[in-house]
Amino acid sequence: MNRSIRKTLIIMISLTGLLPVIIMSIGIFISIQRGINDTVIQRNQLLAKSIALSVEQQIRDATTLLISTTEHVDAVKDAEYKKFMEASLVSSGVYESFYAINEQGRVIYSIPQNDVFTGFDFSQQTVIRQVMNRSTPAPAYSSVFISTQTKNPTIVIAVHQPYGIFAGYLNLIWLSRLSNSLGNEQITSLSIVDRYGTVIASRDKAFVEEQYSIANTELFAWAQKSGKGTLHHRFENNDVITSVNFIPGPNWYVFISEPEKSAFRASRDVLFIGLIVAVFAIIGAVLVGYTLGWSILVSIQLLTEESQQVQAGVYRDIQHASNYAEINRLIETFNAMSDEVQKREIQYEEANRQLEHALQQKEILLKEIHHRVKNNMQIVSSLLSLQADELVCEEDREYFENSRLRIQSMAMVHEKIYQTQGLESLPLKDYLQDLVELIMANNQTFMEYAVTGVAPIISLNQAIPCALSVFEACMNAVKYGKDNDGYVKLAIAIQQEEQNWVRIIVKDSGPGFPADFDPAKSRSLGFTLMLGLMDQLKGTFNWYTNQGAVVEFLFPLQ
Amino acid sequence: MVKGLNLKVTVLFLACFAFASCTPKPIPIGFIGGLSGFNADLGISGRNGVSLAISAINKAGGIHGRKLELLVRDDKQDPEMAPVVFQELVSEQVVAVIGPMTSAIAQVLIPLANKSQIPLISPSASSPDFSGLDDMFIRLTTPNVNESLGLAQESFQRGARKTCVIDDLSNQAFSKAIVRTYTAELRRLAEEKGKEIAVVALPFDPKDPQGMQTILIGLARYQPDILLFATNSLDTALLAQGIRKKGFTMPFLGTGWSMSQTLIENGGSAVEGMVFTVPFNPNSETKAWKDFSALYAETFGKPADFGAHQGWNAVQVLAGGIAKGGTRNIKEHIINTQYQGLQSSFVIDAFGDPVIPFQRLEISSGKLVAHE
Repeated sequence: MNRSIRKTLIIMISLTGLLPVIIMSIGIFISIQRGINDTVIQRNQLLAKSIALSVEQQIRDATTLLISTTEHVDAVKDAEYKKFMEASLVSSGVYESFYAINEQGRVIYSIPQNDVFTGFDFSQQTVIRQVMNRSTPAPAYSSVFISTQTKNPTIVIAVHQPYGIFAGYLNLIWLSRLSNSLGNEQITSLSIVDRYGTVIASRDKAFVEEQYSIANTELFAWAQKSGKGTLHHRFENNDVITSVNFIPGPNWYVFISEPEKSAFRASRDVLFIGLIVAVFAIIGAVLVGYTLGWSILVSIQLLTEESQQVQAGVYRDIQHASNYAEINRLIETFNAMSDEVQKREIQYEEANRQLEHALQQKEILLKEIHHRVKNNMQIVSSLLSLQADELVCEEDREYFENSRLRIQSMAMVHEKIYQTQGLESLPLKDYLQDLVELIMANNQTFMEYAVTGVAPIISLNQAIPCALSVFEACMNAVKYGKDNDGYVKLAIAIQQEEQNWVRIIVKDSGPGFPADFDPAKSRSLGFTLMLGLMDQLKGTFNWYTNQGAVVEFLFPLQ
Repeated sequence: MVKGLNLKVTVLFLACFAFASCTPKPIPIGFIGGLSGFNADLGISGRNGVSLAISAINKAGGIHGRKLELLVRDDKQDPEMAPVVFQELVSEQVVAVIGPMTSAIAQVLIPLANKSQIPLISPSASSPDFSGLDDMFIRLTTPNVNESLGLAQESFQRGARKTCVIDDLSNQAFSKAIVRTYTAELRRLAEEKGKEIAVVALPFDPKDPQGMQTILIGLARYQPDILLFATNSLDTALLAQGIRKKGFTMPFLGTGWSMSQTLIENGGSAVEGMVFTVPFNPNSETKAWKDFSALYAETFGKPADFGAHQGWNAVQVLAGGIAKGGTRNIKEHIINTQYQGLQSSFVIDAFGDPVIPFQRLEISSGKLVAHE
């Protein structure tokens, strides 16, 4: 796998330098986030609890004031206390209005409406009915309703004292003022709902006026069940956290709601800053890695180019100073190697020249040897020819002549060898053509020939046995392959067989082999030679009649 | 500011009634009612009834798998505000609007509903002026003509010769119709018997601190032998207390507008014996009504009343129309159909008016009791 040094450096720097920083940052971020989130939730819960306590205390104070103010008052007889009670309960701003009611539920007097409600029957009002049935001054609280007079949420607190029933209308506008007074008004909202889920205080006055109910919401169900705590829920397609606290007495609930995105904004800020730092760190790592990688790559590029020059036979010293000791050592080593290669190349060139010279000498010598062998064979051939001329017996002369031709055929091999470039092999097809022409020139026979097929190259070792074999086959053809007109039609085919074997077929146009022909019995020198020569070539020798005598040689080329 | 307020209102109701985000898309339904200011009780009750009905339908899986989404708007009982909030709902692509709760607002919205071809289904608007018209207005309460006829017969049977009607100036579309038909029917009955009868309308402005005093002066002057209140529940209760306090002993008659727990609680013994002829009985013994009453009391902490009853029924009518024919041509699928209400079955006729049986109710020992 090919890897980029630059990328590897970037990754290495990132892993070794940035990874611990990032892991540490994530850990710190999670800790900070948890801390912030817990703080926000605790703050909201504390706020809800404080407000609940405050509201509870206000209601309790108002109730206590009502009880203490009226406990010794005779609702029917002590009309002179009206001013005292007006001052204590209404003028003080605690109650919106006040009613003294007899045991039958009829209004004795009311403050501040004076006599407007006097004589009115309030016995059917739920809160009055509740205290009428009580013998103790335990207070009863009505449901919250919107006062027709003030348009504000109002609650009636009623007590049954020994001398009458007293009911105060407590204006709850201060609850909404409490909501409005909460800072961060666009973010944190305070709502108070009654025991049925009807909103009785909210920053948005419409919720109160229109008596909106959250009775069916997950939030209210949870508030009724839990009493206090914080709930994460969906509202207005946003994630919201709401802390709740129950207010005993009137049985209300305080809700402090805040969208999570604003509540946990600090967490996001930390994350954002962390991300920015991480991005810059990564960019820095990339730049550092790139710069470092660039410096190394310049050196490597130079080394690559100079290596290519060495390949092309150009040797130069690299004059480059890197910032890295390892690179500099590599350049020094390269320069030394280049010098060494150059020296060796010079030495090799010199050795090559010497070898080539020696080779030339050897080739000349070999050619000379082949030439002399050929000449010697020619001399032997000539001697045999001279000797043959002195012989009277035709048969002896023929033996001499054949021997002379055999020597000639071997001499032709050496002649072909030194005429060729390699001195180790010769073209078989050319040789066979020359061989047949030699036979033709030395026999007084009408004949024609054809050498066809492939043109393999045959080694010196195989050339002479092959030549003598073909020579014998051709001589048999010349001798016995005449047709009725005394004409010899000789065909030599060279075929390339599998696994570098070569097949040579010598065919004449004569009557073929006699039916009882047996080379072993005939004691023919030619067949004996052909058999021996093929053994020497590790080949086979075959003969048969097919519209003439056919001799086949099959042997592997070296 | 108003837009922001309404948005919050919508959001709160979405929070109340929408379950987890669901597919397919919910069917948006508008509600318009007087939720603040004077006479808000009827609007708030109507909205509560509507919200409970929609919540129940959604909990049961919606209509053909689609849930209902309620968009609530407060008309503040202001004829100038009502068209504004109606147009807001139109832009929210509601398929129908439930409301308004009063005839005065209905008078303003009906032309807009006809123009936009959005069904306007009023739970409680009872002016006879809207009857017999082939328009987009459908209502769940009979024209107060019928109520007035019953009250006139009650008055005549009690031998009334001089009657007074307290005419609420803040809801003239309702109270004027009551006064008009009550007077006409009473005179017709008297003429049939060859008798004479006087009917005097006493104007009452609930915003006027001296309103009660004006009524008392009028009663002292005319000395009626029977008194009909065409006022809301709290005003009726306080007026009744003031009138009894002054020593007047004439029988009281009331309308469906005032017939509520608020009247009984604040009227005390002063409203004992008050008679109503209404298509609604808060003490009905039907199972559906008892279940609804229990749910309503549990949810809102107060007894279910006429407005809540009408709001629930209005949603059932609308849901029936949508279930029958989808969200197009809803009106065509609502009319000429019989529905099972919380207390009785009723028919919406071809003009979108209901045919509902009336009952005679009387406050007795702090309770509304049905009498034949």
